[in-house]
Amino acid sequence: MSRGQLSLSIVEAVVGVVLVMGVAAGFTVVSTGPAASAPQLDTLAHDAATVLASEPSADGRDSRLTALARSTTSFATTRASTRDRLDRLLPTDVLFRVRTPHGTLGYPQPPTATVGSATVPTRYGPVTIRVWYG
Amino acid sequence: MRAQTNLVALTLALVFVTGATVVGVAVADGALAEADRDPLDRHAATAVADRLVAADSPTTVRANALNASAVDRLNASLIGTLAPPAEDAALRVALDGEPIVERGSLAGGVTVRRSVVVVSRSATLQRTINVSRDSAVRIPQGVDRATVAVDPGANTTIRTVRASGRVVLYDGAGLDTNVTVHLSRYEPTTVRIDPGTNATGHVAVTYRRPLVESRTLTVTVDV
Repeated sequence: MSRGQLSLSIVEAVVGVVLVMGVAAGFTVVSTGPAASAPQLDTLAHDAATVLASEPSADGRDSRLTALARSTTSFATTRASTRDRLDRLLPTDVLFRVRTPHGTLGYPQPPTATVGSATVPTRYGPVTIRVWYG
Repeated sequence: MRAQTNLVALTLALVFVTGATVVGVAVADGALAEADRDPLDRHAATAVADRLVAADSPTTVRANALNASAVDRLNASLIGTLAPPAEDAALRVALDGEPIVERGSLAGGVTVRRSVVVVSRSATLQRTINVSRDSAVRIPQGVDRATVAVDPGANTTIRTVRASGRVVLYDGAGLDTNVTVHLSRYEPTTVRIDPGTNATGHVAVTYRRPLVESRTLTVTVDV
């Protein structure tokens, strides 16, 4: 073994580190799956959508959810009351954002939070409710 | 000199491998802890919550709308019938933190939360159409059924009762009846009759206004 070569122990160590890290990386990739709170949040989003879809809107033509999607004016008139309704409906530690063809309402969505969502098709386009722990 | 260089290299190598092993075991431990989610408890709690809020459940009037009187009657054995996975398990069902059903003592367990509304019905309200004076009565938004009692006076034939233009009762020989009709919850309903001239009698419309409250249903089950 000449002096210019890398020490054999270091080479062995590097091989060992790569092996151990490979196994550890396998754990992180394989077994975690989605975050534990995601199904719970999805359920809450579905609940909120179901309640909004079965509740009459103030103008009495159809459900609150359909009123949100129907037109820009009906979205504007239903917006404030829907926000209050969702505030009371969802648990206090859960925040929400509702996306409709005519705009969005609710709280700004944090980019990294685990989000549950439910999309309901209406005659005027889809309405998506997203909820997260805030 | 050469032997000492090898010693330093060996020490460094041991430090690297030990560090990597510690990190690897920590990652594996975290992954295992995350994967252990009490699957039986979670399954049972989810099942109880799902069956309690389902549209065809005996406890609801429609999906996610609990019937207040059915909630008062709710007990642990009924929950066991609705959701067999929670039979004989320790469980607690609460609305906004107020327990409505409790059985056994919970040591841990999994909690599932659902957003629901609780629908209770007001005392009966009655609107009467005096056939000799007027022909329509207005029922407020939210009422999904009403009882119509048609009581025509002498020489009067009431053939049709309409709710917002839709025919809900018809008898070509004349109505003299007391039946429940279904209305649209989404809009105020106008119940109208067309008795003709010089008619007498009464049509009584009886209904109960639903009172809706938002609640958070909490189900905790420990199998």
